[in-house]
Amino acid sequence: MVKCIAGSVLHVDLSESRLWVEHPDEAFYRKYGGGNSMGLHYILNDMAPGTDPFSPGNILTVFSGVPTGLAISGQSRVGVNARSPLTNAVGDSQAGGFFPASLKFAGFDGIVIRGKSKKPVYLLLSNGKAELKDASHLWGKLTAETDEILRKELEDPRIEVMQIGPAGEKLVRFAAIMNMHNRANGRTGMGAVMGSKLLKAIVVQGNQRIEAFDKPEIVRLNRDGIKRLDEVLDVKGLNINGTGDVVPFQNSIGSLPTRNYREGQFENFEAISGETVTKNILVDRDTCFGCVVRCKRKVETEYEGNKVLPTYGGAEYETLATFGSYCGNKNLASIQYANQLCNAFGMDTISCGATIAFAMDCFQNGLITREETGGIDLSFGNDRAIVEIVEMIGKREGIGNLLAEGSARLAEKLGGEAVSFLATCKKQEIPAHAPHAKRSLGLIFAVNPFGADHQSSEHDPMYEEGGAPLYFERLALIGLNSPQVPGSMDDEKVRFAYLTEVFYSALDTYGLCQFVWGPAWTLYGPAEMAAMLRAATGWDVDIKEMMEVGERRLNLLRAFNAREGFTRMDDRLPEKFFKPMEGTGPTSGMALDRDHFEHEKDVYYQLAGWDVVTGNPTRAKLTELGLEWLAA
Amino acid sequence: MAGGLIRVKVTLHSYLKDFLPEELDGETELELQDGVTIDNLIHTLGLPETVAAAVNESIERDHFKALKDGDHVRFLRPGAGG
Repeated sequence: MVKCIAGSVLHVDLSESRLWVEHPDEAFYRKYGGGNSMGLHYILNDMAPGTDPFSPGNILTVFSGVPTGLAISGQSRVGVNARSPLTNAVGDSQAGGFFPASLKFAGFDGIVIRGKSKKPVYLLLSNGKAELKDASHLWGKLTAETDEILRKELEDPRIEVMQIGPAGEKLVRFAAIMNMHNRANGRTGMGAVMGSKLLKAIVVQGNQRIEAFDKPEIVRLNRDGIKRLDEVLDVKGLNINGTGDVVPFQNSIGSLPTRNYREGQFENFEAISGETVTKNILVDRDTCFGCVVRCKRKVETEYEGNKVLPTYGGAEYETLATFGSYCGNKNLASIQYANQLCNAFGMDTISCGATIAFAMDCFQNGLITREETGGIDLSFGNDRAIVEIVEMIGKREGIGNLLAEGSARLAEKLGGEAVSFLATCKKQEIPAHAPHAKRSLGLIFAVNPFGADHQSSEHDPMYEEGGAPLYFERLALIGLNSPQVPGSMDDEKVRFAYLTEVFYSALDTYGLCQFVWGPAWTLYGPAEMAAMLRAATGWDVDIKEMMEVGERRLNLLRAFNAREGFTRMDDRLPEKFFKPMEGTGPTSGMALDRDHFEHEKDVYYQLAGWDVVTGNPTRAKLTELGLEWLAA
Repeated sequence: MAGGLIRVKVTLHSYLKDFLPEELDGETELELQDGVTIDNLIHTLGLPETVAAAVNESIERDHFKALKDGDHVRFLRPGAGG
């Protein structure tokens, strides 16, 4: 067994309080790249079709990647999968931090969690051993409180904790799983699945050694990355201002969702930008295990007498936008406080902010009344209302109980024209990038198996004329040689969307950060990624193999959905995107074309080797990828 | 103002701020010859050639178009998000 792999997968049956360890062979790790493809393998083999997301039959998997834990940037990632209570499709979410590497140091590559506990428990993994422990005293605690209690209780300040907050316990459909209480496996409601199993936390401790096959090469690549920090300008911007660095660019192309995607520009964009954060409230730049990029923020400020504490981190771009422009809110302190509340209660900031924006739109259109809000004025831009509602969602109190179901279910309940205000794909709220400006990303929002996601493919500007030579040199390595006209959408852009989706899929299953490794703008490109994987494992990995691993994951995700009855009919964009956008800037007056969008889907399915009628993987494709067991 | 001077506000975002003296915090007003283009500004300020530019809050892909008196030019780094 290669030495960068722990070689152990922990299986947990919470219903029976039973734990056992499996030692998969090396070929299994190579086939899937570790990560969430391994988790999906267990889910697809062991979970019955039609399983309710909140039933004990749902299987929750937590996996690190093959290189996770090595001394190089951007490897400490953990992927979580289960059936999603938000989308009813496959659930998938990635997070960084120190937990992923520490999972390996505790002696495990991943965990497969079945059943439902009779009482709240937490799972303790320590140097190859595992046990379930009572968590009754932790139930109801905020995430930072749970972290503190566990550190004292276990008398070890170096433990890493992956946990749910009160929102996960109360089955908020977009509840997150948190680690460091500021890193989130945020998307698709994986925290609610954990809550349904009465599993409060997973604690890891240990010092088992993880070694690269070719340590000098890993050292060389890492040093090379450090040297490049000042040269790769996009990464430099990320270090200086965090992900919020892109707010002005997003606004300039009309891609900054404003007032529930009515508009693509926000008149107060500078008030919510990463630069404003840096200038006024940044106290530190934080990092994940072994990473030199330091893109994470720690901020300190106050909102209406409430302290915003550095321990809860700082709002990412998506959070600045969803609680900011998406809600028409220019009050930066309120956004940071909403971010803190989400991290403390354990909620996805994208779905939470976007659901509130949707409710604001409904309020402004008379579909939600003041009586229903409990007297709260839900007008766009009301920062106090936003913060109040976030807490009510986390507690499932008052109207927060309705919003905790997510915007698509809220629209169904409200009826009438509410559905016309939705900005969701497969019932998951759309991140803060207008498809009118990023056309190929819009296609990915629709076809992505786990609902709208902004980290499942490369964004359009990287493959548009005028881009940096570095982008084009790297994209050529995965077969993309013809940068397109800015703002365009044609068959070549569909190829770009598909091939970069496959690449991002590989990143997710190898457990690599998409701000460090990628096909265009990151610290390392495809060639360095193959070199790193070779050095980590000793396997003769090349870009072709990486793409196959990525394609395999994409097909596993899609096969799960096919089994649950999803088809190309579910690969939809919201109705509102086919009507002209309001507001100012380049996307004002712009509407997507329905026929063109359906053509894009045809081309996409053909590229994927899927059935164009159903949009699902064919037997031939599954067999080609060694997934014939799924074609039966 | 043909042949005359125009005033243009320039804002440099992200790492590009370093291309102006620190005390300006990435923002300045310049008096320039009428007919000046974004491309001229990129070379005058010594910016990387692949920066994105927005004029009056809208992305401008044509870097050879003449600027007008009172324009606000922002130089930006294109990016993804997260």
